[in-house]
Amino acid sequence: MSLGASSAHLAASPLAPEWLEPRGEQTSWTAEFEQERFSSLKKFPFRSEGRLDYSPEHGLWIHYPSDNRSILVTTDEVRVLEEGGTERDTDEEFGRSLQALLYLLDFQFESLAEDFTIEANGQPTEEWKIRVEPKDGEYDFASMTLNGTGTYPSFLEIDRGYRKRLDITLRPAQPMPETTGAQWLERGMNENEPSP
Amino acid sequence: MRPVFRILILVFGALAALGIIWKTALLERISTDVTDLITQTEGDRDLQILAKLRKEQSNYLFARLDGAGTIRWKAAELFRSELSSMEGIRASGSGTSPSDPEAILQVLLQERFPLLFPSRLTNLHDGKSSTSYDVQKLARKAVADLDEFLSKPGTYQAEEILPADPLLLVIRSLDQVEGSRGSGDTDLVWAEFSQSIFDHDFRESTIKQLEDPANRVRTEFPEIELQMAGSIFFSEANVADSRAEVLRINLISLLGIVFLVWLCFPKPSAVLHLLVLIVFAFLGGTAAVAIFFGQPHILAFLLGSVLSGICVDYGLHILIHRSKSGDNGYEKTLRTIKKPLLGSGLSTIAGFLLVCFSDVALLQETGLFVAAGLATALVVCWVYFPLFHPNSKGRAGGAMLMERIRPRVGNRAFRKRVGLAFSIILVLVGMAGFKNLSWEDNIRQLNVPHPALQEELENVLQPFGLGEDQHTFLSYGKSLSEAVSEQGDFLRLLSEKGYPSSPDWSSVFPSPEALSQSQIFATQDADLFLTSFQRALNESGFEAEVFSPFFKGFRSQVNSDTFTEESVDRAAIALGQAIDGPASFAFHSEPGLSWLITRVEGYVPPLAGTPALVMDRDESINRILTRYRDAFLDLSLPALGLVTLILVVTFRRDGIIAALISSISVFTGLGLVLLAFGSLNLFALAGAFVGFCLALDYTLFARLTPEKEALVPASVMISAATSGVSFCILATSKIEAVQCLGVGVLGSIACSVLLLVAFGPTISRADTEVICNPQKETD
Repeated sequence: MSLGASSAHLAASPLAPEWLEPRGEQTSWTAEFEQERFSSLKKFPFRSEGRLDYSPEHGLWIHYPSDNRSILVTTDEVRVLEEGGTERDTDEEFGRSLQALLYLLDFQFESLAEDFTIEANGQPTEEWKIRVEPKDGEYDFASMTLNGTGTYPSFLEIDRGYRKRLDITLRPAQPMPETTGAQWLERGMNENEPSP
Repeated sequence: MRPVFRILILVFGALAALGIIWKTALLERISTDVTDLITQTEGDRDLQILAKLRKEQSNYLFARLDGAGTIRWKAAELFRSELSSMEGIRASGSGTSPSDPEAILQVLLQERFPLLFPSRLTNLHDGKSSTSYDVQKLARKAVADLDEFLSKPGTYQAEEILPADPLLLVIRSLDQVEGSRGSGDTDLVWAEFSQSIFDHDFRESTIKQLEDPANRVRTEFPEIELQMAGSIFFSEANVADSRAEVLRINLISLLGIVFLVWLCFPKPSAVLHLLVLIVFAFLGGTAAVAIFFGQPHILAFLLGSVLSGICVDYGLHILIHRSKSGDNGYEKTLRTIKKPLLGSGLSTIAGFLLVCFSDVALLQETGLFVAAGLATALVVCWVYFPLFHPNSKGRAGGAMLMERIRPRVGNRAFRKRVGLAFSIILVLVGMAGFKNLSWEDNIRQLNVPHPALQEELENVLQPFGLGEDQHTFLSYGKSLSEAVSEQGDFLRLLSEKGYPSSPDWSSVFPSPEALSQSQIFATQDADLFLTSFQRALNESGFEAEVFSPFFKGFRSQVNSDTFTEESVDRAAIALGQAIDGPASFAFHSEPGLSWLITRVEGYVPPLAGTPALVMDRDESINRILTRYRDAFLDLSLPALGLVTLILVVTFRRDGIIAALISSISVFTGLGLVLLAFGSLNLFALAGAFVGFCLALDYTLFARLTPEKEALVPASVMISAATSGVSFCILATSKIEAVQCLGVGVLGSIACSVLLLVAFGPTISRADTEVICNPQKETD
């Protein structure tokens, strides 16, 4: 099964009509975040910081500067880049999960409906909370919950099962100028250039 | 012997040779792999390793895709998936990553204790070796490393294996073992072929099939530049070139000889007689090669083209002497010239047979091919020619051309002076070459150069980290830990000399010291370490019970038997079998032999103190050629000395003169090679050897022949001309080694003929008189 458009599935979901209306024009934004990863291996979470760059046209970059690690998420694929642009193999489940996140940030419920049960609360233009749950075991998480206000998300929780959770708290997002696809890629990749 | 028996011998001989060639499937066995040119010596460990490494790498296709990011990635994935569905592809992958990382992970988890624990123990102990450990300190460091690793945001996927591997044995080795998918603006794709690319049918069909995925990528992603490279393309080009060379050189050589013979013998039957002789010689030589060599190289048949030039000599001697002797039949002619014909023929055969004792496969194959061909030609001379009974006196064929030319170059004395002058000039020119005597042995001299393919290969391999900007060394040993130890010594030397290198395998695989430390640890400290580790995990907030798979495995697997060279080698072999793609080139393990690769950026000159079991991959194969050249010299000098001694004892003064003329000719030939190519090599030496044999042949025949009226007998002159044509054509080959051989022998032939002209005529000796006047003998 894969993520894809499905009006039939969407019609069967309990989403309020306002969530199904076309969203207004979206802009690119960037937001720094704090991450807490809860693991079954340890009693306390592992903390780290990073930055999300989002473009409705080109996808999502997730940067972890302290780890010299960047992840590019598009609707077609997921690439993990390390220092110097060296690329790592990407686990398929991990890739699909990040693509689900991208669809969530895009409010693309049609694409999510086939694989996920979707629950949306609040108003798309005000405070909102969307929760998706995979219908089968092809994803490496049990649920993903995104909170936000208007255009910008504020908190993401990825529940990966018993005592495995990822909490990402985003700082207020800043709009980014629109770029071409090549500029988008280049800027993201430059994050991993070796430090002089 | 009755003619019917002669015909039967010839027919059965030809059929037997054809049967051998067909039955042994010689044509399917002919090799085009340049490594096969020098790999025959079983005991040569260096060469075995290099040949294995080369064979491993030659079975890969490498591709690079350049262009804008996302599209390029899609194009690369499309190309890889298209390749993986091809019939002739065993596996494919991206970057240097193996095709099945999961399989590697499983092997690493299975073999983590013997293979990975010893170096981790050294690492936990700050790289120091010890006979006793502060186990609590070790445990605290192990937990701190685990905590630091898990603090990295991208490591949650590793959490699945950490319960079995909290010491990070597998995690720490994965990067080095698996490689990466690519970097920068280039995507890399590799594919491993399911069969050897040196298999002709497989190679041809695979190259055709490769066009489909490449065309699909080029059609769907026109903005992406796709370049493919690999030995498969070199092999295809080499086969095509070598075949064209063999055909061209043999054909032109044959045509030249036929033309010369036609000039000398107005009757077409002479040409036909010689063609029969050439056909039989080639059949005999080919059958011998088919029997004695498993995978003869195509170049042996290229060098072997000299066979036609030499074997027609025998036919020429017979034809010329028969026509000169008036109405004598061939049987009588053969009796008359038996001694010089056998003397010269057998000395040439002996020369080529001695070449068979070289360590170089190419020389062995060529030596046997020519020696067997010449032996066949000699036998055919005695069986074939007496079938014909010339009934007319005929014209003095062979001498005709010479007799027309001679008066135009003055009288005998003038011709001698001209011969002397030209021989002095030639010898001086040759000696001038020795002013800059140097040797260069390079495996590339054996290949038809393909600069465009080479550039493409370099361009593709460079981002794989396999390009010529990387200097590659191999550290090897009977076991993996011995190879690790050798590499460790070499890395220290490189570091001292300021050459940074990577990777250091001792951080992953055990050195002998690390193994013995682990044995001590297993018997003395293992239990206490487990308790301390468990406590340290709890103290740092870890859920120690989650790691029960590790504690269970450690208790059952870690004992003194775990850390032996045998168990490490078994684990390394299993790991090697799980890894494919460029990552698999980094190390190799098989029973009794392991090696590790060290790559250094840029060129590293030979370093004093390099450990004995470390090889420079690029230089070693050339050093092996140098070793073979030295061995050839050691073999050929005593052999030539022995031949000379036999000649001197048998023919006395004529023998001394023949040896002198041959030696001067050979040095002149070598000098000309030096002038033309700037250095000598193994093939120039082989040429010198052949040149010496041919010069002896001509000199002996000239001094023992009944043709007293000429300074150099017409038969010798024509023989030299036909052989000269063969070697002259060889000198036009695209392959430098063949050129060297051609120039060397051509120079020797020219010099020996000029010296013969200068120092003729024949000397009267009792036995010469007998040969000259056979009537006397019968009287």
